[in-house]
Amino acid sequence: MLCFSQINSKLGCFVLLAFLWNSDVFAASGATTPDYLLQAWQSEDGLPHQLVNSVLQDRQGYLWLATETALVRFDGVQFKEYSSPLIRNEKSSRIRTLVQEDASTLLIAPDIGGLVRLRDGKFTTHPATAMLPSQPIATLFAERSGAIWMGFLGGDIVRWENGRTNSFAELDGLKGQWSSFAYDNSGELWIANSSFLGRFTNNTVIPFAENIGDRLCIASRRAGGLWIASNERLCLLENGRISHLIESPPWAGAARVRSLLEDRSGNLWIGTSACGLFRFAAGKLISVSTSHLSINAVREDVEGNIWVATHGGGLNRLRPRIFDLYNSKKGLLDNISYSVFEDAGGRLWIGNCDGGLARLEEDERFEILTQNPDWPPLRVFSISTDAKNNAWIGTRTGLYHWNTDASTPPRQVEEEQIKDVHVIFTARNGDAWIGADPDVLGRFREGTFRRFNVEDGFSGNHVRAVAEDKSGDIWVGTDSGELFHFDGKKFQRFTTADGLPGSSVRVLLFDSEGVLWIGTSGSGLVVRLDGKFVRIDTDRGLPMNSIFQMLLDDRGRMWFGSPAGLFHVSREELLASARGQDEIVYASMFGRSDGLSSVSCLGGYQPVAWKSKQGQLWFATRQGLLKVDTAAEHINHRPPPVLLDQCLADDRVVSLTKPLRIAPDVRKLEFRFSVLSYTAPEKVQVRHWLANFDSDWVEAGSARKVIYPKLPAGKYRLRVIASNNDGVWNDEGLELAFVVLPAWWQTATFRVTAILCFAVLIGLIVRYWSHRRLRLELTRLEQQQALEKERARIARDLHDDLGVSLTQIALLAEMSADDSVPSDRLKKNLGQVVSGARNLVRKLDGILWTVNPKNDSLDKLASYLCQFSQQFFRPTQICCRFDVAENIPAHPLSPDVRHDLFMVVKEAMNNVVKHSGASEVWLRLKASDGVFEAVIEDNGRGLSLDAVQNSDRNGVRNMRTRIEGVGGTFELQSESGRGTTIRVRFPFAHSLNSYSHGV
Amino acid sequence: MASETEAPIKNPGPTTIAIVEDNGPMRETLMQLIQDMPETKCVGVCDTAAKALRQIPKLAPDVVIMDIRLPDRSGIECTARLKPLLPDTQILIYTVHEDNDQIFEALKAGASGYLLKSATPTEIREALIDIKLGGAPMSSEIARKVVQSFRRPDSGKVPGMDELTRREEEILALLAQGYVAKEIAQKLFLSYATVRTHLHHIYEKLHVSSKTEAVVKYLS
Repeated sequence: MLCFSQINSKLGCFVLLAFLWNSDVFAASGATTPDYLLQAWQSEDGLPHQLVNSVLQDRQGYLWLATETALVRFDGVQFKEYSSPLIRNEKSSRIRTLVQEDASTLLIAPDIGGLVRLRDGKFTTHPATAMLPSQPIATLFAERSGAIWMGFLGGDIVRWENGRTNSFAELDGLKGQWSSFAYDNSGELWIANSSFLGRFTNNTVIPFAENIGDRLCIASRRAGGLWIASNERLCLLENGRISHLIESPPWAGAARVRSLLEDRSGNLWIGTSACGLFRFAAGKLISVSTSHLSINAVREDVEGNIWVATHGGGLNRLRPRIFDLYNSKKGLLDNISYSVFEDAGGRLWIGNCDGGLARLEEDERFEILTQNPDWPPLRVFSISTDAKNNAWIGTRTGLYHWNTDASTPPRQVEEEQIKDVHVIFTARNGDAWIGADPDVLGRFREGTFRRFNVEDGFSGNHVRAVAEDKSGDIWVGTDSGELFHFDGKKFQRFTTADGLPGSSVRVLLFDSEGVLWIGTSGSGLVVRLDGKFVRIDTDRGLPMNSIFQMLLDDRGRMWFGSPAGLFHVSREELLASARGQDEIVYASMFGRSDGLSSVSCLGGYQPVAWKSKQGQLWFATRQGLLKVDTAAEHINHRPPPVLLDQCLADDRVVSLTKPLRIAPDVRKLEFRFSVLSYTAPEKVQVRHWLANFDSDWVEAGSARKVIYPKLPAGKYRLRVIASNNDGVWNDEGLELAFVVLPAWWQTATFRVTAILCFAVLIGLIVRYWSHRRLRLELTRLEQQQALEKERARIARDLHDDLGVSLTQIALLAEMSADDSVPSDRLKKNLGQVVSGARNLVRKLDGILWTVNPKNDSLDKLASYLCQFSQQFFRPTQICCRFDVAENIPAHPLSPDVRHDLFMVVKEAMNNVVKHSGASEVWLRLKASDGVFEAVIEDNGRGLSLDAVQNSDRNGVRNMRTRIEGVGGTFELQSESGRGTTIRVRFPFAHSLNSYSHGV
Repeated sequence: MASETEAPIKNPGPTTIAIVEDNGPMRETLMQLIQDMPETKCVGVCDTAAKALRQIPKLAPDVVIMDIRLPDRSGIECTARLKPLLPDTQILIYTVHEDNDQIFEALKAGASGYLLKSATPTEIREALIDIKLGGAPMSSEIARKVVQSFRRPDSGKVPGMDELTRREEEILALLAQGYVAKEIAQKLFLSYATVRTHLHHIYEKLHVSSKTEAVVKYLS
């Protein structure tokens, strides 16, 4: 028994116990009965408890385990506990058994009592619970009709159907706890318990008349009838008759048969309470090793794996083992075998290194020919025989020839001093080709040896492989990486110049279609297609680059032996890759999980691997001669279901709503799923494709999760497909549509709102702008109008003042030019001309002042008012005095305001001159708090109160209107005999505004 | 100080006058007017500032009548250049209408009075006499500007030299209120000549205090 060490894999750690040898308990193991490979999952692998009471595969494909402490789901990689108050309390959480009620419902019998349904992840109490005894259910069976049988710990048996229960407790001998149920071929339900066996028909149990034994356990039989295991025997119920198969089985008196199962291959599995597991096949009962001798349940999954629930050893899986290793344990003298060869008679010859030459006889025993006393001791490198019973034996010391029918020992072939014979190859025409180090290539034909050398075109040395193509030409590969083609006359040489990698050629193979395959040491595989050499190596998916052995099996798979292990690849895939159609090939590596512990294949000798006529593949390894029984191989045709388990957004579980919604700010989106293939979960291949994100399928190895980075908002569809260990793909796989929600600023509502807001804003801006433009236009028009008014006024002034005065001057001058004018009149006229002209200059000054834009400010106005009044009063008797504040600002004034203020002051002065009779007049100017104040104060006779009140009658009204027209105030203070004061106030700080808004 | 002294009389003969005026008819009329007056004598006429700067220093007249607007450069600049060459010559600005800013600039640049082109022959005669004997009359506006100019803290001022006396300030205040020189003389119980002398001093001080400014503005 070999115990393999713990290994690390993507699946986690588990202990694999491989039992390469069965202890033959009752029958010798035949060559045809396959061995079984055991894998056990125990506590350290994540199983909650070593005690597994029952195991079941649901219709989806999950395995469910009833353990001592929990209900557990197993997906081949992980154990997941399920919990509910309905199945556990503080006293017990043990699950006693479980069955499938319908496609989506599990029935669970918890230790705390009652019957619980599990459907879509939700636990509910089964309606029958209220009508059941209080004891826990120990046995459960669901009829095809949906009726449920329950065996209770106290012994009651209750059948529930459509809300009604039927108790069978009173039936004699029928005890509930260890009941077993089975349908026979005719669809009749049988019940067994203790020593009772009965048939259930029309709601009654009809006992089977014959007594079969005690502690009965029954199972359906595909060929018809029932299997019955009892304390005393194993028997068969067929057509109402009992036939005994095995009497006094190993468990008799020692254990109870707890589980009985016939698998799809016809093996009957017998699980006992203390004697372990047995397999009954071809009339023989064989003990099958498990991790514990107490078996609670045996089930077969849809892929044909046998699952064993043990009472202390965890969960076991059994599947046929196709590998067998022949070494010293099987009778060879040396573990290392250099070569293997099957002769025309189907006998296998083994070059067993220091163990000499061995032959496998029909009874699976080795005959060590070199042990024959008259044989020389041989270190056999290579062996080959021809149809005429000539055997050629290549050894370190030389080449031997032996007639296999003769009694005489082998004779060393003396020719050419051949030593170190690595290669012996027998062609179809019977030629024996010999390759020996350092540089011998020779041929035995009709007993004559012919050595080839440079004259024949053969320039190579260290021949490592010889092969024959369809037309009978010979091909030779050498250690220096060269290849030679011999057409019967000459050798043609191929080197790196022809596309060969240059690495040592270790093996040559012409497949059934005549394609040449070349295995190299270090450069992978080379295939010759249309005269060209194409290399396939680790870059194209091969697990390793050293190919020492090659065989093509009957299923179209190329098997490759390398120093680091054994693997196979589909020939079609290799050809497709070589033709450039498919980049990557999928290699199936054989290792520990297949019962192969780090095999190291040998190379450099020929024949080093052989395919037997029976289809078995033989490989020479350092651990022994490895046999692969492809006929016993159980091809897994079942596409593995791919089921979604969990979706995590930033490592937090997302509830799987439909449709699935993912928040907008998720940076890491992870999908965890199960690929339900239990034969070799680690050999599952997964591909995924996220529509709208990935451009093509993404290879994910055997990982059961997919992680995506932050996805932009939108709709997505994730597809995950997977293949099982035999490369059978579930192309449907998992399909999941989901939506990555847009962030609030990405939502349509927000965008529409934003666009609307923007549009409104634009509208407002446009409105404001057009209003402003209109207003500016209006202002411009007003300004233009004011300007035109101003120009009109100036024109009027020019005409009225200058025009009239000039006309008058011209008239006076003309009058004076007449000689008849008397001199006094002339003098008077001249005086008038002078005063007219002077007056004209003054008026011109006034007009110019008004027109000059330099004067459009308050301080200029003040200055001008002083200057004007000084000139104005100069010809009069009135003295003009000033009181002018220093701080009158240079605040801009519009021309009309300036004009109006000036006109009012001028009018006031006019009145002083005309009416006041004053001797002194004060002009007081100041500006404070944004108000300009001009006061004209005289010391004249003043006005009566009456005159003040009616002051608007005369020029005063004009002044008031003028000043109020520009937003100012006018005030008249006067008292009879106390002079008159006129106060004009103008708020200049707002004058421009009031002006611009249209006066 | 010369505040209470009589006005200086440098030359007992007729006042020599040079005219700088580009307008031909006006120049002829003004020359005629000056020649007709017994107290005055026209010693030269120029129609450009360049000619004025070339000829007038040689003539060294008592008074220069200077038009502000000249074809080549301004009369103010011409004043600023002439005054240092002829410190005893009084320059009278002759302008079409009262532009206080320009007149004040000219005063600062070295002019000692101004004359409007609209002035009557009598006014012209009085002004020429006044300026010969002291400061030409000052309008209330100019007086205000002078007062302001002296109040302004100015780096170009020479302490002590250019500060106004109380009397001068008094006179300036009255001028600003609109009193004319004769009224001021009456009001302050001074002779008219004394007021004129005060005015002369005020002009001188204004020139001194504005010297740096003028140099920067016109002579650099």
